[in-house]
Amino acid sequence: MNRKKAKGYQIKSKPQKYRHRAGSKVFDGIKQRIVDFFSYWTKQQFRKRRNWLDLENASKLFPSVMNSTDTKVFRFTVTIKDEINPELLQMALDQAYKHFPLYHSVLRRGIFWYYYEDSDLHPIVKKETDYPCRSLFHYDEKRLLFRVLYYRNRIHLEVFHALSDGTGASWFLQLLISNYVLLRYPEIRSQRIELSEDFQYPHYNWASQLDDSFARYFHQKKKEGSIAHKKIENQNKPKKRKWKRVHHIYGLRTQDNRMQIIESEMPVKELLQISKQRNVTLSVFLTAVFIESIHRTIKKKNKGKNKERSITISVPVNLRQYYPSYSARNFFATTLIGYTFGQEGKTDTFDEICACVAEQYATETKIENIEHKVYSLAKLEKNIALRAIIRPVKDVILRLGYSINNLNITAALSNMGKISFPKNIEEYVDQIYVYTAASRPQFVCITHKDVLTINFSSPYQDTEIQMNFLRRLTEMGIPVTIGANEVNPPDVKQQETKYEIL
Amino acid sequence: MKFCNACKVKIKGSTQICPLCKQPTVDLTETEFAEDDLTKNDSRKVGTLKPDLSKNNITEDDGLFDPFPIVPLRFKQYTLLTVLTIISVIVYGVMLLIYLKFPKSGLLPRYIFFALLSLWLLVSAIVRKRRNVAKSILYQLSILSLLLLLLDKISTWSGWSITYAIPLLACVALFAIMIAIGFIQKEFGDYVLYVGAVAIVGLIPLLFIIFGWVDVLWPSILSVTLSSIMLVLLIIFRYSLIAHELKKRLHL
Repeated sequence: MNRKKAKGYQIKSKPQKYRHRAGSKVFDGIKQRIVDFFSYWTKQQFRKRRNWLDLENASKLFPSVMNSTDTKVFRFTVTIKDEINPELLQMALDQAYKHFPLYHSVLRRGIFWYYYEDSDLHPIVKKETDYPCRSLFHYDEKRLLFRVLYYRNRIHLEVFHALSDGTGASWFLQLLISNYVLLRYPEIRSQRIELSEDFQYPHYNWASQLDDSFARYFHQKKKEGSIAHKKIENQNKPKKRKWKRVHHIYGLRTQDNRMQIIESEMPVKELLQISKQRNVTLSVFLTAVFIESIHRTIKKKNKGKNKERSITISVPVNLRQYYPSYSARNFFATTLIGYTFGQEGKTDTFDEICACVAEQYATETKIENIEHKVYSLAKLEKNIALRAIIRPVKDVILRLGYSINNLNITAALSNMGKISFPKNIEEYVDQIYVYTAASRPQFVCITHKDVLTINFSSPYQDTEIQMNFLRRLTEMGIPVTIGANEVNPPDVKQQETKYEIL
Repeated sequence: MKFCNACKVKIKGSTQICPLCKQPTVDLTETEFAEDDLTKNDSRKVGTLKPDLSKNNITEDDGLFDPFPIVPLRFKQYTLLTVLTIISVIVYGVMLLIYLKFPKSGLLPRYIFFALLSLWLLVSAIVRKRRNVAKSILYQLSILSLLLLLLDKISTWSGWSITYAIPLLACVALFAIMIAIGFIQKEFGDYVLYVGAVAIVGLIPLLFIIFGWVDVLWPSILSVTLSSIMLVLLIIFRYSLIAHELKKRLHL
């Protein structure tokens, strides 16, 4: 009897219990979904009105003209003494991220313009497994416009140029690295850390960080009161130099459009000595070497052609040195430095190039000339006819204008100047490298401690310009160490991107 | 650390060829250049220089490692695009041949063209807008409506597209968008304008009624009613959100 009962109980109850459990799980799930569905329409959290910000003058160009090769992403690399600890790096990033509201924004498309929108996204450090400066912006996805990577003893900060320029990003980098070093090496926490000027309050003030300095200083109405206005009135308007037959660099692209990166480091003292001997600044000297090495490359290819040919280098000028601004957003202008080879009465020696470049640096980087250019760009931006064009058409126009402007440019370089960290943290930081995605050979140089790094990036496989440049420096007796990424990886399994369609 | 005798530069990592001049490199120890270095730094031994992985502090051996990870080649595969093109070309060619052979079979080239056009438009809209469901629904509603109108036009015009198809499609789209958004549970601000746009498309059948293009009125009336209720609800309950989104996206 008992057995039967027990059996019956078992037989009856077991499937029932089972059915009840499974059924309730599924039923609860569906119920929860339905409850969620209806509560969605009433919940306040889904009705958030996100803050948004207009792009400033210089960044308006970047989202329109970027493509899969020239992604408009630049990268800072910092080498630290020891292998990177990803958890501590993540903590350091979280701390730094709090202080930079600009870096919280994502880029979105409007009907007429792109705009930044505030987001709740959280940046996560990743191990570097991909090639440098991959795209950071997708038109239909909310993504942060920067990423932090690590590889062995290197920390990389990659930033989309529409968000910030090199100077703005270097403040974020300084805070990130200082945080990391303090976390990684607790022994220095007890020491007194002296903060240099770069770590002062205005850099971390939210309002000054988000300031649109182009709008502040280059508003049309303000023109009368500007620094250079009166001088321009008195003199003639600055003449625009016309470059004849500007040379363009073409070549075989890398197989999957990755950037060819060549980092080089050398003691800055010796370079400064050499440039001092020639009575020029370091920027002038490097520009002249660059022009000369490009010319050597062409000469080899066009033997016997002795026509006039110009090589022009686009150089960005940090406007923060002329106008007080702590904006972490873009605030720069570009200028063109060049040299025409094959002119009558000239032998195109290095000294001649140096003299010509030095003279142009003296005139072109004068605030009068730059201000004039920025004003005309600001005026263009304010043009009502141009503003009222819908964004897809605007993209095409900007791309067209950009490529027309590029017809005047052979290559580009950028001198980031000197970067430093608080004294105690400096001990643990070895080297800093900066480079950018480029549509033509380009280099960025930066000085840290006593070492200058010159970092070339190029979409082409050819490295003759870089070779000529660095050989020129080693010929002068400067010890150079280089590092390069592999653009033709040997017999590695070919990998396909997931769904890169349409 | 390697050394290139032609360029006279030290090279980080274990590369066999110089990244600058593509000539073979030598171990740093074999050159005079390196010997100076070695006298300064006794910790490095002459002969084989291999990275010491056990050491925590890696700065000393930094030059022995490659500064970048080796990234395999990646190629973009336009799979879907290729497949669609091949299908389109083959189908169109075969059908055209059949038509030329048997002109009375009824497979008019314009129908084949229409079928391929719909395939291309719908697939590209789905793929390109796959990240935003509301946008995708709006695009598909517009494309499908136009396609159905075209189909009605190229077959003998009987008005079924504007009488039934478009108004009912607009109703379905309105429900679909609300259900999709409700289950996705993301910020409504990203979708609100698309919901509004779908509702406005649903108001278009009002024109059909006014101009007397349709004889059967109920589908159009249904669509207009549902859409106007939706719009009124949106304006009453989400006015500030709509204003904010419009200002953001339409700023000049």
